Amino acid sequence: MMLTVRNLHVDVEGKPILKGLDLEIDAGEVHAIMGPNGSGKSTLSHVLAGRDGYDITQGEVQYRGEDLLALCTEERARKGIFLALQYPVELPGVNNLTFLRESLNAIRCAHDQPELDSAAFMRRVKQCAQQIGLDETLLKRQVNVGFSGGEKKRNEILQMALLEPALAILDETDSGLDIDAMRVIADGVNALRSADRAILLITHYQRLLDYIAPDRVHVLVDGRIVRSGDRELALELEQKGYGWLTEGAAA
Amino acid sequence: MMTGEVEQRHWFRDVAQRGVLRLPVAGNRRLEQLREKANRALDDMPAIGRRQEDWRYTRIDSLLDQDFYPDETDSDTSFTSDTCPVTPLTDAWRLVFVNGRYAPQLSNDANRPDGVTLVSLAESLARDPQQAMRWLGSLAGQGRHLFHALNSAILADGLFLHVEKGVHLEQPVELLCLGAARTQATLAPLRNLVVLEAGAQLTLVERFVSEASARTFHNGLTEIRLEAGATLNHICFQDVARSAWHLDSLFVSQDTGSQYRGVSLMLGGAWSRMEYKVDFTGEDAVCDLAGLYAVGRGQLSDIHLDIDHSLPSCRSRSNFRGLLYGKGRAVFDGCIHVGEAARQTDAQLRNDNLVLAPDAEIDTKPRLEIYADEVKCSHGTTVGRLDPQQVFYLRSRGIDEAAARILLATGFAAEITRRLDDPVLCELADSLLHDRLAATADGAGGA
Ligand SMILES: Nc1ncnc2c1ncn2[C@@H]1O[C@H](COP(=O)(O)OP(=O)(O)OP(=O)(O)O)[C@@H](O)[C@H]1O
Ligand SMILES: [Mg+2]
Repeated sequence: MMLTVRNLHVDVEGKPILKGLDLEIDAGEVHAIMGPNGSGKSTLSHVLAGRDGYDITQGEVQYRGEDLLALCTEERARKGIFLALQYPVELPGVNNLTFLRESLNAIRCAHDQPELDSAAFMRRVKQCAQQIGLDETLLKRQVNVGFSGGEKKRNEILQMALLEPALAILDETDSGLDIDAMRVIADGVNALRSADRAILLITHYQRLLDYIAPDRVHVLVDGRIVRSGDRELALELEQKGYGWLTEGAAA
Repeated sequence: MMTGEVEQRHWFRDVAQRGVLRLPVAGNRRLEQLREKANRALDDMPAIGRRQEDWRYTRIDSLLDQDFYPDETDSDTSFTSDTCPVTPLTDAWRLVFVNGRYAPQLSNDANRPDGVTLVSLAESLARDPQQAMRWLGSLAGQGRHLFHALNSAILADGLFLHVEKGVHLEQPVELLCLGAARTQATLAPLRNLVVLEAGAQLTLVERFVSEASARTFHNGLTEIRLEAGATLNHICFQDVARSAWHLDSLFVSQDTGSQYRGVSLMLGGAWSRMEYKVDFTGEDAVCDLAGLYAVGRGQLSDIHLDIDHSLPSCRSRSNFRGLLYGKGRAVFDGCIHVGEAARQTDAQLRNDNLVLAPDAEIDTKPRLEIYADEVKCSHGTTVGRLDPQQVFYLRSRGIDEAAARILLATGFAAEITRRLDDPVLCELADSLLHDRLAATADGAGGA
């Protein structure tokens, strides 16, 4: 199993947000998580990536047979976890290329691979940029500073393509994208799909799932997965909303 | 209260006295008068103390604890181009001073174009006693405090740079000030004079470095006169030893339509003080100052701006950033005065500080004194720490915490360092900052 989340309880500032979440993702699979605003989707993604400020009160997370929660953020990244943030962070003064190179080399280094020299690195980056349709001038700018919403999302996907993670978590990467951009990003994700990787998509829209066919769809409501199913579930949600599920949960 | 007033005055007189003994006989009435006046100022000026606004947060006791002597070593033998502690800029005309004394063997003033005077001040005064005297002291006057008086009292040498009307120099002029370690604490006085006639253009790069154990006190004073439409790009890059003291005072006078663009980096020194005094003598002049100070353990960085808008339609920009990465202190005191007649003044002052060490201290004090109408003036200061979201973002990409902090801190500094506008200096600044930050990163800035 790539990822196993069992009975996960997480508080933020004393308030329970995740309330017994279970999730299993196998290598080679694509899962989607949908759910109303504030239900805890980003919280889950942050906890998996190792962000501070979350109090894990119960439960466990196994990643490729290892206790994920015992690892620090950068160790997780080096072991193949990647989170495309819902709100990518601006890094004033930090050159995008420098950032990308440091990331790639940190991860390569952890796998006992030599650092790429700058010519080889440039070739890699340009190839990735082309693949996901990212304007190359963005590479020379400060990370995400003054990027449009869509450009920020593309920059996240560029990082994913470059770092080739084993488990990619995309938190609403499709939000705010035009239709063409969504296609490009879907292509990027599909290119990453392979038997030894897994992808977790957090999304509000069925449309992305037209391009990236998920193996499983989960519905997260109030800190719990209340329903799991195949792609049909996403279509059903699109038609009926979440009300019927929450009523069901309450009953 | 600082060291007692009496002791302080003794200290200044003693240091001046030792310097005077070593002065070459001037045989130059006006120069002698200038020195004599300064000597009297050493008696008459108020002692430096915390009651004075620009010394309020600056203690100079550790400096006054030292007895400084002029450098007696034969400067011709102290450095060769192989032992020089810094790589000079390629393609630059260069004057080099070692502990304040001219080192012709390291200098390079060959093939200067017509219309440019670039010599050591002492040489100029010897050759033509009147040329430099036309301007010497005209901007600094008596100076503002005892260190200025000390500079004038033993005024002997420095850079003299004069560019005639309309001459544009593509190649920069480099002034390299080297601090050499001697058995005694050493006073390195320097007096520079830069005059750009109407429409002249030039880049001047001043660099200050020293041997690791040098106990030098650089007391530099520079008068810069920009005539109508002249443009000076002025870079000051200071990275002296932690055991050294550095005071650099700039007096700038700008005539109509002139532009002064200053970029200063202050990285080294136990005490490192920069003073800018800018006056406009014509309208539509632009003064654009940027600076970065980096403060580690035991360092005091001390910046003072005094920009005087007395005439209409001039613009000034001051953008200073501080990086406090160890247990040290920084003082930023920026004063912009807009006089009654200075309508259409456009002045901005910014000071932003990034504090990486829990026990660093910063006193920032922007002062805008506005007595004119129809002006556009603003000021702002911030003192902040690293944003945990940014640190997380980098770590989530595999970069460890220490490296993340360095990336973010050098990013913060880049706002200033990229203005160096010279790839060699930019890279040098980056790598120096990187090394400092890396040396302290593990101890969370405690070192
Ligand atoms: N730092 C915080 N302090 C207080 N409450 C927080 C904090 N972070 C998250 N929360 C709360 O936790 C809940 C879950 O937030 P989360 O961002 O995980 O929702 P989400 O499912 O991603 O929503 P959306 O679809 O709007 O992105 C929300 O009610 C949110 O306000
Ligand atoms: Mg969210």
